[in-house]
Amino acid sequence: MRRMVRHAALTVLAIAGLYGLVWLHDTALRDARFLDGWVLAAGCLAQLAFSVRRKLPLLPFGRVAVWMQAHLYMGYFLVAAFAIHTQFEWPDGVLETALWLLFTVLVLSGMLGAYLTRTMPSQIPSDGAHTQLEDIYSAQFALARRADELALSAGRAASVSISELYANTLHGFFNAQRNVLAQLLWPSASARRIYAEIDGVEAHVDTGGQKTLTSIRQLVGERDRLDNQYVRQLILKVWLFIHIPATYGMLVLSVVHIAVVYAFSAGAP
Amino acid sequence: MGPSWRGRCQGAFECVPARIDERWHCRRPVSQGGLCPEGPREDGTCCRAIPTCRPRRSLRAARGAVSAWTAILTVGLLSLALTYAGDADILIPGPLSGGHSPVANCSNCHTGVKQGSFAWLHALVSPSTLREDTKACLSCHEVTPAALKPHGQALDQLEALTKRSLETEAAQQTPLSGLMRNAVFPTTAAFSEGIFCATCHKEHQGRTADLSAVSPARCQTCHAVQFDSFEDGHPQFSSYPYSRRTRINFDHASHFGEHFGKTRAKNDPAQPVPGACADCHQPAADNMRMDVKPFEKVCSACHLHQIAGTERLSSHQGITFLSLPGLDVDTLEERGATPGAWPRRSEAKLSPFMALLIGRDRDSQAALEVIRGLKLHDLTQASDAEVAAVNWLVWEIKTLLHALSTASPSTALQRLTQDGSAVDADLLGRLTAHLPRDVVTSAIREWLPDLDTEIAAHQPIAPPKTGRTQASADDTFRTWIAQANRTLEDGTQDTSPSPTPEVKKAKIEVRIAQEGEDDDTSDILSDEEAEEAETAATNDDTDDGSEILDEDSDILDDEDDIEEDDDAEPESEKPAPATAAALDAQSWADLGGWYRQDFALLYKPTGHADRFFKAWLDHAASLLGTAAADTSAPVFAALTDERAQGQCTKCHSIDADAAGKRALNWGPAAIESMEGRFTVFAHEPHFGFDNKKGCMTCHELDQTAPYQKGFEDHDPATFASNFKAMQMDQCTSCHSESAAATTCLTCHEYHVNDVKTPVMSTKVPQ
Repeated sequence: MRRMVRHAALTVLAIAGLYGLVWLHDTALRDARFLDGWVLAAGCLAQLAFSVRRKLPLLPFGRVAVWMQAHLYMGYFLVAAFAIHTQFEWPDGVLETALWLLFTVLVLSGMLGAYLTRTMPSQIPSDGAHTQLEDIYSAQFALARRADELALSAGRAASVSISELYANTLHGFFNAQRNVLAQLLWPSASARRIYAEIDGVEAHVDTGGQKTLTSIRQLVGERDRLDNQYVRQLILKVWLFIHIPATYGMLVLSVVHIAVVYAFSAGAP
Repeated sequence: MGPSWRGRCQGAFECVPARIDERWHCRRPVSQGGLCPEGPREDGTCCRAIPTCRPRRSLRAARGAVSAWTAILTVGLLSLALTYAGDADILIPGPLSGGHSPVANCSNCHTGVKQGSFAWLHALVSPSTLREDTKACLSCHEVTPAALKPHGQALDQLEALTKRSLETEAAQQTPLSGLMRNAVFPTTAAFSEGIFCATCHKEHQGRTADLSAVSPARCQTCHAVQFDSFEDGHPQFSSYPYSRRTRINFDHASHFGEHFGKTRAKNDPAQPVPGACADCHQPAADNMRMDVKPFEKVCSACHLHQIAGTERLSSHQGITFLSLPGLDVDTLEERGATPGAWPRRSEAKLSPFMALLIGRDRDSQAALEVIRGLKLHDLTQASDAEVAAVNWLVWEIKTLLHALSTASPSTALQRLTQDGSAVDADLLGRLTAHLPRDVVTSAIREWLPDLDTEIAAHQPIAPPKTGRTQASADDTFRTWIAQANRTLEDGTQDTSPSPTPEVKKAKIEVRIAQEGEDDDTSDILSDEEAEEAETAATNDDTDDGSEILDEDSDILDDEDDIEEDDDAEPESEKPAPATAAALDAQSWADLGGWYRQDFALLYKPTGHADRFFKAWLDHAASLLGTAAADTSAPVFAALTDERAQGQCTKCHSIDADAAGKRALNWGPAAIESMEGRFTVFAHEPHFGFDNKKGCMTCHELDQTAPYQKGFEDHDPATFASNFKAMQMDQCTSCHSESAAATTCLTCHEYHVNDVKTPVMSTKVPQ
């Protein structure tokens, strides 16, 4: 908490420093938009460095978590710098409006990402095991195969009930993908329904069948854990589908914006 | 193995068998189980086929693709927009202000930008400069040549203002923000080339944007003395709003305390007394200044009669414009001069106007200077040179009168200009008050009936050189006499078959003078004649006391004198006697205008702002401090005397400049005179003061101020206002951060010489 306050204070200080510098620059009859504009451009490039750092984890440039913190607070600083650069006004021109919208999208997606990054990991049920999003598909596939094998290996007395259960319920559960929104809003609802089904069948099978159902129950729990991890990890990744493309779009427009400014400024100080 | 980089499944077989010695051998890597027991098939394919799949793009890859497509889409859309919508529509950062909305192309103002799609990129390589762009501004907006200098003023003026500011506000501490600004972003170096329009006027801020809005901090950045705000640190007023003597000499204190009271006591409805400030003052057309209502509305009831001369100090008589000055003709003739016909009864003075018309060059002015020192009615003590000068004067007057009767005024009065150049017709009309020719010719007919003949027989001669020593003066006289004699002889032979008795007499006496044994002029007169002349001179001295002709002169009424003089003068010299039924000329001219009396042509003002008096005051004032100062000064003095006709300068003050020129203040400051002033004040927004003091909230009467002493010299900077100078408190009671505006531009102008947009030049259809 203390660290967060310190970082926030530093950010506020930097914003105040920029505002003061811009005020001095403006009152000295210079065009302050050059000053805060270049500060903004340099800050955006610095934000890109975080992405580069994440792609090069082996390089000794500090921990990614530290970079993440710097990225976050630099983002807050750039929001203020952008407001100063636009003189706290809505844009009027087409190019400026596009830039403004993209920056706004970038900021909002970044803030959403910051929120999700802080809140979502704690909601991911790990139960001691954490599976990367990229490995969840294969893990789900493996669970489905194991469930398949278990159902087939059940004793003859139990095979009818378990086979029916598998055919009617378990196969679909293990081979289908959960609805992301439903899984997010009502986590483990599907698993609880399966558990109830298993409970209903359990009384009609022998000891061997009960052992099989116990194993299947464990597989259902495992699948539910994977589903929950999948949904939350997916959300942690999906916001980047807005943030990063918006970054690219904004970079393109920023380059055009700078070129236009210098073409039309006639060397203003 | 995984998918290929293009996302395609690479699954086929577990190995690619190798053919060795005509046999196929398994090559499955050890990591994948090593050699399989089945081995390759006969055709050389692996026996263990890997089932193919449809690889799914990872999130990272999908994100990369979306990002790349976003960038591509952005570039594409922008290119399309720039191509089809046009550079201006896409790149313009915001609408132009309303005043600039007719500007059609970017290149009109951004001189480095060419027209056409993507042509703006050219400006990246070859950008314009602010100076070039500023020229585009100035193609429509007209400013002074020093437009790019701070405040559009010359540097020497700025230096003087800065020096004064540093002296008067030396105690002012520069605020921290100012110190920081000066340290981090010094202004001096950045704006050595000037302050360009775009430095302060920011365009593309929207149609309703105020381009002239500038923050107070920006105003102060160049100033040597800086402060925080109007409330905190603004220099105290020194004598605001009074920076000079009022142009119209109107003493509020004496009118409030004395004159209005007396007039009120008369209870005369024809002379109403103002009861409120607004009875005399009204907002000017610009709604900023307060003007004084016209003379006819607020002053004439009490002061018109003073202009007409029917009340108080000024004379009832008009001002003499042309005259035949009274001369000691006998002595002139005795001393060999040849004045020709001249009225011996005239007692008029040489009018200053006539002297100005005659003294058109240095020699003439020198001669007039000699003449001014003489008693023209008694020349018995005059030196030969002085006699010569008087004789020259006689002929100059005759020539002038003749010219006025025979040539157009524009030709005859070219003497008004020192170089003989044509006089502006309007000015000439005002200077002569459109003097009718009949007035001149009738005067000449009575005064000098043979003028045409005399002029025809006379050749112009140069004014006599007036030496300082008696010897040199006498030499000059001899030369001049000889010249005059030749002229008379030539004139007689060529143009005057029957010379008048006066001409004959003059010729004889000139010859006598040439044959004289010595230069002692006293020998020319006999002792008896000298005694008579001395007696006459004594009488003349008595009459010299007044500048203005005495209409009731005893001399004219003395029948004996008239009878004695009848022997020596032709009948025509007598002014025509007024008939019993007719008014005298002066009374006839009560309404103003020209009239003739005795041997003078006089003019009376027609009322307030009489064009003759106004024109002559301006003209004479403009000649002061020039080569014509000697002749213009008497005219100016005659018109500005406290008893002068019209009493113009009783109210209209006179300003003098360093060269000695004078200027009459005919009214309050003109709009043009506001140029160059940093401080402006609009009265109108302040009319709503909700208190009993009204105008006196700011203009507090100072009963003790020596207002009139300010007019004793001609320096407008020497003054004592009728009102106390304003204090900052009077402004800050309203103008504060929480109330009325406190920006610099509320009260101060940046472009002190104004910025104008000239009328467009539209050719008439043909």
